[in-house]
Amino acid sequence: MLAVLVRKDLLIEFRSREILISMITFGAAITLLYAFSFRPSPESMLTFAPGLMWMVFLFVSVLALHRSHSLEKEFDAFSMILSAPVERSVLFISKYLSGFIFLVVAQMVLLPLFFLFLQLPLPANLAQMVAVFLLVDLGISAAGSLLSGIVMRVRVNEMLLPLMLFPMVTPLLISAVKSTASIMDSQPFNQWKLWFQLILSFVIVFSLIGYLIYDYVSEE
Amino acid sequence: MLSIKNINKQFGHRPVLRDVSLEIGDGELLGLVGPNGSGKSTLLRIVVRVVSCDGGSISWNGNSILNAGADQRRPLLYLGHEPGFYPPLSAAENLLLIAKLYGLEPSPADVEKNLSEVGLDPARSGPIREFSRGMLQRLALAKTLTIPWELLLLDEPTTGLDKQGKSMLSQLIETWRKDDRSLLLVSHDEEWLSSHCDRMVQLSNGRIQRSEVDGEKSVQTELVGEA
Repeated sequence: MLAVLVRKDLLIEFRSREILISMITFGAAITLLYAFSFRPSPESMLTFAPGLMWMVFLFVSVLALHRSHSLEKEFDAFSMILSAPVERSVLFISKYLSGFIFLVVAQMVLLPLFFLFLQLPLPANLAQMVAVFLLVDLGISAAGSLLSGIVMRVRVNEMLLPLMLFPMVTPLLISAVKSTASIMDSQPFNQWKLWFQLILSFVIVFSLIGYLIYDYVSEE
Repeated sequence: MLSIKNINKQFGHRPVLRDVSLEIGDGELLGLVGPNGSGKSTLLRIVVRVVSCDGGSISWNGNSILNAGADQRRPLLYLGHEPGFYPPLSAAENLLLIAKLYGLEPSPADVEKNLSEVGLDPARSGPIREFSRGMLQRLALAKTLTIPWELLLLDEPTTGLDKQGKSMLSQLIETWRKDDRSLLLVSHDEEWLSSHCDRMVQLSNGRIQRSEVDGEKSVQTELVGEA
């Protein structure tokens, strides 16, 4: 059932191309704005870049999370899914996974642009960078999918989602920025292990919360 | 048999359903009428757990539907006021997807046959976003032919249907009647509803006001005085 639901989200995106195109266009626009707005020295850019990078990805992720749920509302397909014999926890995981996939695909396009336009050196340890990015994406998608499910039936949900999501993911974002900065600065893992553990804890906690309570939050 | 007992529902401080109890027997066609905002659609949505309720119980053949696993909803099929499809997908893709949600794997030929039966062109591969309201309603009816169900909950099924569509729906209902299937129908068109249903129940202000059998007021509930 999980595969059916994830495939459905991907097929809808393949047909409509609404989510990824808006994510990539918006992300590229902000990256270009950053690149042309200020020109600090390469050293100070290394200090600012991780923060700017994660701000871009957080803004971009809101587009995916909001659109993915608003599509469910368009012809009230969400009611059809809720009334079908589908466990709501599985529904949460499907939204969580498809949100994660959209974010990863958008990052695959936006990250090279970010490094290119901000003239950043590639990190020495790419494997660590990929691991941190994948984990943080899981965290954003878990918290975002849960919140989208909660606010999707509210009239001003497009406004409410970022208002609730940004404070909620602040610990994750700080940890992501610190970890990314440490990797770009080639610091050993032991020095930023705590931030990595915080990211991991966030992912586990929000995945579990979403899995357990989506049944209740998805009903009107 | 569907048994609804003492269902209550409030949206904010506004009570929508107050102590609603209802039973639908096997093979019974029950019509639910009432003015706008009387709680008809909400009751249907509570039965299939799209909307939560504040109290009461609902069971199908003795098995509780509320607070139970998703499998308990398998015998029920709900066609809401909105079509319940994904606009970027084609009619066939939507039907296939819904079938898969019910654990079915119908062949493309089966899906095409069901689409033809409700008067839709199975060769049309464009997104259903381009469909008219009537075509969406016909597609919703194709669900009833694709998914095996024991109780069908229909909310305003005549909306958008032309004369031909209404006649097709009437024929389908008569087939279901012959097959002893249970139906809960909600419509504003009381005349159309009474021509198809075995029993009519009126909801007003969230309470059951009257119940009729075959058009005659043979059962009268004692809740008329409540505002």
